[in-house]
Amino acid sequence: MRGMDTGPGTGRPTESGTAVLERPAPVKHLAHPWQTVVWNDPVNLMTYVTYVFSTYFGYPRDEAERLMMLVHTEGRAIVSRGGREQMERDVNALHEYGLWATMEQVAP
Amino acid sequence: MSRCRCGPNVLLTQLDPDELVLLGQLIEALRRAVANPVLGGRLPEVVVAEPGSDDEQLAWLAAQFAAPGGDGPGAGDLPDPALRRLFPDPCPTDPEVSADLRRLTLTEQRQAKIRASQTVLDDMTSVDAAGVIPVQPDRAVDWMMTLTAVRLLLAARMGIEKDEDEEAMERLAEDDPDYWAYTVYMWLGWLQESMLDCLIDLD
Repeated sequence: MRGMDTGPGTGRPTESGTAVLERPAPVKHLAHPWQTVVWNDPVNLMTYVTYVFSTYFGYPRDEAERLMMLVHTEGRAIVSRGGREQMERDVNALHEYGLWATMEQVAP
Repeated sequence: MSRCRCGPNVLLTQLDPDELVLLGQLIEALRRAVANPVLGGRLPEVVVAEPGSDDEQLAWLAAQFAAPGGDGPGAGDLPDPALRRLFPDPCPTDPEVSADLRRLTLTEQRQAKIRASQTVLDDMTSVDAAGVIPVQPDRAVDWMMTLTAVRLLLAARMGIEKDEDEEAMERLAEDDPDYWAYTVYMWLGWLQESMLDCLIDLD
C-alpha cells in the first residue's frame, strides 16, 4: 500500500531501515491490451473444443463448455486476455491443437 | 469397425487392418504436406514416407494433401488454403504482428505437428492381433492433434468452410468424387469422438 507522503517509486522505510521500492499500480489499458479469439469452424468437434479449453487453459468443465457454446452459437468467443506475448503463446498453442484462433488488440 | 474402449488408465483403440493402413497413409500424407519446403524451408531430420500405394483410392486421397509450389510465406500468405487452415493467420487485424509471429513460430508449429504424428505412428506399431492399440492418456493429446490436422486438411480439400458446407456434403451422391473422402472424414471424426469420450472419463 502506498504511503501518504511518498510518491510511486520512492523508497519506503521498513522496520529494519532498508528502503523497499514500490511498484506503481498497473495501468489497466496497458496491462491487458490483447485478447485471443476462437472462431467457429465446421470441422472441430464440440467435445474436442471443450477438451482443449479445459486442457490448455485449465478452465473448469462448465466454463470450457460455456465458451465452446459461445463459439458455436455466436461464431466466436474471447478465450483469454493479457499481454501480447502471452496471447502469442495462447494462439500458437491453440493452432497446435487445430483450433482456428486469432489475437487482436482490445478496443480502447 | 473402429472404436475406443476405456481400459484402466489407458485408451484401447481398435482398428481393423484396412483402417490401420488407411490411417497410416493419411498421417504420412499430412506429414508430407507439413514438411513441404514451400512452407518456409525444409525441416531438418524429418523423414516422411513417399506415397506408395497400389490402392487407387488411397493414392487419390494422398494426392488431395499435396500442396502446390509457390513462393512461400515470405511473399505473402501461405500458398494453399489447406495449409492456411492448418497454420492460420494469427493476427488478421495487424499483418505486421502476423508476419513477425509466423517468422518466429512457423517452423516450431510444423515440427510440433510432425512430432505429434510420430507419436501416433509409433503407437500404431504396438497393435495386437485383435487390432487393439493401447494409447496412454499422456500420448492421447498427440492423437487428438493429429486426427484434427488430418480432418482439417480433408475438409479444406472438400471445400468445407462453413457449417452449411458440411450439411451439403451429407447429401452427396455415392458416385460423387468427394463421397469417399467424406466417409473417411466422418470416420475420423467418429474415431476422435470415441477416444475423447474415454479421455474425459479418465480425467
